[in-house]
Amino acid sequence: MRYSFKVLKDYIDGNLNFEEIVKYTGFLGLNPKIIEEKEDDVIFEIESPANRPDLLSFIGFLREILPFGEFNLKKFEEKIKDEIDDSMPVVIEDEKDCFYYSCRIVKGINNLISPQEIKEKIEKIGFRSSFLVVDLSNFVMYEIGQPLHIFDLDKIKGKIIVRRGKKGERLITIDGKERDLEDVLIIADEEKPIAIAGIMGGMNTEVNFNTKNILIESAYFNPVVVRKGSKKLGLVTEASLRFEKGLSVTFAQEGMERISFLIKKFCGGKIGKISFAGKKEEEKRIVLLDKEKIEKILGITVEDEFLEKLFKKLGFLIEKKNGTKMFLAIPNYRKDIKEDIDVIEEIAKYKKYFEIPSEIPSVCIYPSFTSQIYENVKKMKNILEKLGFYEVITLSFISDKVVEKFNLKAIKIENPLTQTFSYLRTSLIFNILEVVRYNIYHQNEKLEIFEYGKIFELKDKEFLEKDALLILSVNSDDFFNFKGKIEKFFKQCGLENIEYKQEENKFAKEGTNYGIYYSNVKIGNILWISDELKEFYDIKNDIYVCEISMEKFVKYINFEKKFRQLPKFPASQRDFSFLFPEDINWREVEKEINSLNLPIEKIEVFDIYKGERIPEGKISVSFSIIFRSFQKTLENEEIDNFSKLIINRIENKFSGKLRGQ
Amino acid sequence: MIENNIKDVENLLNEARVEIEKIKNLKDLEEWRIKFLGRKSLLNELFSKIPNFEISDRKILGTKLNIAKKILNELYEKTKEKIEKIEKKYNLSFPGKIVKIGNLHPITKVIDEIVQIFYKLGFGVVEGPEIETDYYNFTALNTPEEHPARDIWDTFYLKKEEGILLRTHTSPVQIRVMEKYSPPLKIISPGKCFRRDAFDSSHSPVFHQVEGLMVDRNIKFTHLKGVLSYFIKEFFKKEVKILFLPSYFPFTEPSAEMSISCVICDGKGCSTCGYTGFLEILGCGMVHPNVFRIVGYDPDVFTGFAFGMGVERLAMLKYGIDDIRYFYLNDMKFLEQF
Ligand SMILES: [Zn+2]
Repeated sequence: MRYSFKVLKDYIDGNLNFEEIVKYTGFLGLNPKIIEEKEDDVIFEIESPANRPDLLSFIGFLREILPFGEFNLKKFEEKIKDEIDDSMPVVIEDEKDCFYYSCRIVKGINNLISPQEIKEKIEKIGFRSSFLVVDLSNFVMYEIGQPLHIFDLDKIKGKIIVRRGKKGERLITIDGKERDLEDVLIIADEEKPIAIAGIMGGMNTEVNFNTKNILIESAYFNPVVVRKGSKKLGLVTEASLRFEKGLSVTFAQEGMERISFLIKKFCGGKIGKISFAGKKEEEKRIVLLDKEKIEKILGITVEDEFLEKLFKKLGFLIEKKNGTKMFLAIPNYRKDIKEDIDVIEEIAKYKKYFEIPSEIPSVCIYPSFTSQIYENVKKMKNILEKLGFYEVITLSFISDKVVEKFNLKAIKIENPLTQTFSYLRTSLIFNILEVVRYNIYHQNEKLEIFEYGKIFELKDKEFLEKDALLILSVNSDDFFNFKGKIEKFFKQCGLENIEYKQEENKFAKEGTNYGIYYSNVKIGNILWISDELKEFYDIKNDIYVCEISMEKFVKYINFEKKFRQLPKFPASQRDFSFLFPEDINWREVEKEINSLNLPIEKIEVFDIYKGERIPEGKISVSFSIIFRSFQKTLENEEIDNFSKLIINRIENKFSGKLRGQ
Repeated sequence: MIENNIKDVENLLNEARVEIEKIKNLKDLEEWRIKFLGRKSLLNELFSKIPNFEISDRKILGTKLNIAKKILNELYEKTKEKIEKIEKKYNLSFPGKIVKIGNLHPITKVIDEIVQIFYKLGFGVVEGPEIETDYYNFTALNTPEEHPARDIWDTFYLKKEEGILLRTHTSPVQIRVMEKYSPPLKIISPGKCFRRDAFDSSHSPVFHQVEGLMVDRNIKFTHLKGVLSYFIKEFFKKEVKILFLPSYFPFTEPSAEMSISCVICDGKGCSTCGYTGFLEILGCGMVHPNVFRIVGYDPDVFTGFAFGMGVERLAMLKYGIDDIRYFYLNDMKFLEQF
């Protein structure tokens, strides 16, 4: 809300300059912001906390800075006596919805036009001036925080009923929109709804140029009911903002007194009797504050003198003292003060947070549990970084188009920001392909990237989230270099002897998807991205991807290392070149060689060739085998024998043929 | 007699090999040539001695000497070529070849820097789910349904009726941890959060937070200030002025907002700090007794503090990044800078 420095000064005795306001509101964290500086005035705003409706008024604001200042608040002395007996009967159907409802008839008002003085004041704080009675009611709301409503009395039939709207009931509110009132708290007369309680009045009883007699409403509605109604109607007003934060009977009563006085003063007319329904008084609220608790929470000791002075300014009445205990009666305009901790916060505020000392807690050492997953993920990321990959982080949303196109079982967001962000991703691949497209478009063509994050799935109406890792390479390496990096990654994570099985995958180019298995459990896939997916993202280049499901993978991660004895005897290398059928599974060949139980240290493929001089349907594979024994130096003759064994086995098992023979 | 001479040749070769390894320029190489291949070299001396031997030995020594001469000549030519290549053909002022290494995302880096600082203070890391329930995200944090403070967090719902949503902050982890463990507790929890904010230079519907919680007997507001002041100084690696001011969060009381003197302009005032010289950095406070009651801790025995900070905001200030969207565009030219 907007405050006018000049208007604020009307309510105080003593001195207060604008610099002080800036300083005090600064201390209180209210972040004052100047909207307009004029010759004789400053208009400013503050950030008012969600639990402080009282601050949304001049008086409430002044009360908040009062403990810092050298001024006092003026009291509204004026009370208007009723002049006529007229009163409006009120019924509240459910007192849980409305705790207090009061109204007052004013008959024969003779001025509807706002004088310049009022008009100016009301426009300064951001309202458009209307009929005088309406301007005055808005002004009172800003003055003391109580929203009021003015009805044209002659349009109300019978009595006032505060009740819920029935199915089919509708009302055109003063903003000209028709509203569905079902289940919303409304004000009605005997025939029809006339206002939405605490939110907005109806056009049917609105004040107009012909208005002679009015009905003033001042009430205390259940904040939750107002908030629900406001949400349901999508209608937020100055009134609803205050009611939903919780006002009080006192606010309502003060509001009625003040508006009656102002209407009598500016509009004339005869003032009727106040009629009301609901509780006239609220229970007294006592908070017990133990001074020891102040030290326990804030870590500072506070002198009695400071407390007494502060409580007096805040209106907290010390009812009783008992040793270190104080019983404080809390005024009704401070509904946010419910228990001792709330009072302690007030003490800290006025002690100024920044003047409270800082210290590092000295507590006994105790081991904090820490997530092994966090540490493992960090190590994994570091390995990928070492292998030359860049980490990317993407938004977790995918578009409705992706979901439709690929028929995904994705979780829909009920209130998405836009259609492009309307589902949760089921795989990291979609967003990461966006990253690929973006970078290629921006001339970063060589990409080796990975993302680690949550993916989401709808399974039997259940919302599941899982951790996933996706590693991608485009324009950087040939596939086997990429695969080599992936294998190195697994090895560094403690997973040796990874197996691959050719499998179907709708996102892979036909025949290029291999399931990755570790001790017979599938932990992921390695694949070339399908043309369909590439086309969807408008990418032409080959894309190699490895996706890992962390759920399984994380169980096998083992960064613990063990020393292996260094070799004492020299190694010998032999190179082989074979022709194989082109669909050979190399892992099987390796396994077969290893099953011979020869002193083999390493088998390494160094050339794969297909094409000229190679018969149709065949593939040439060149590999070297490094022999080494831990017991002795191997003789040439022994190695020749081993080689023969290997050649025989391969020729028999895989219809391979040694080349150059 | 001849055995000794053959041995001399072997030694000569070894010596020549060792010395040539060290040679880096043509001048030293010339000296080497004179020493091993010149007229007064040992090799020449031995050649001239050949006639003194018996015929059978002459052949053996001759062959040996010729092989040695050939090896030395090869060594000489090879080294000469190598040195000439470096000295003449290449201008060493040209830059080295570009070496490609990987990199982690700045968000990951900043999160880990935060984590490492809190490790030093004995905090542990706990993570929580991104899909949350209304209960953990709001109700248990003293923000029951229809609490006006709920408007602070504009929420993405997956199923509003059942209260299933994307967490709007990392604070639900506090509740999950306290439900599971008894005090004392010292934890931080980094993670992705979601708010229904427009995607612009300073807002993102997806962002990261690090939540912190410490609960024990005798934890006070002064400790909250002490711990967070230590953190900020470690994080920005320079002296910054720290300012704590009142704020409002339903799950802490007293609640505070911590600001620091602007790291961009050093407090002089700039567009980043809105010409105030200060930047709001994080929200914090003493855990509200209602939160303790909800998880079954006795608020008369235990006290604690909690805080939450935005990772992107810290990263933007630390690196001087002016648009939050860069983090999610993942332009390589951006990612390679950190
Ligand atoms: Zn600045």
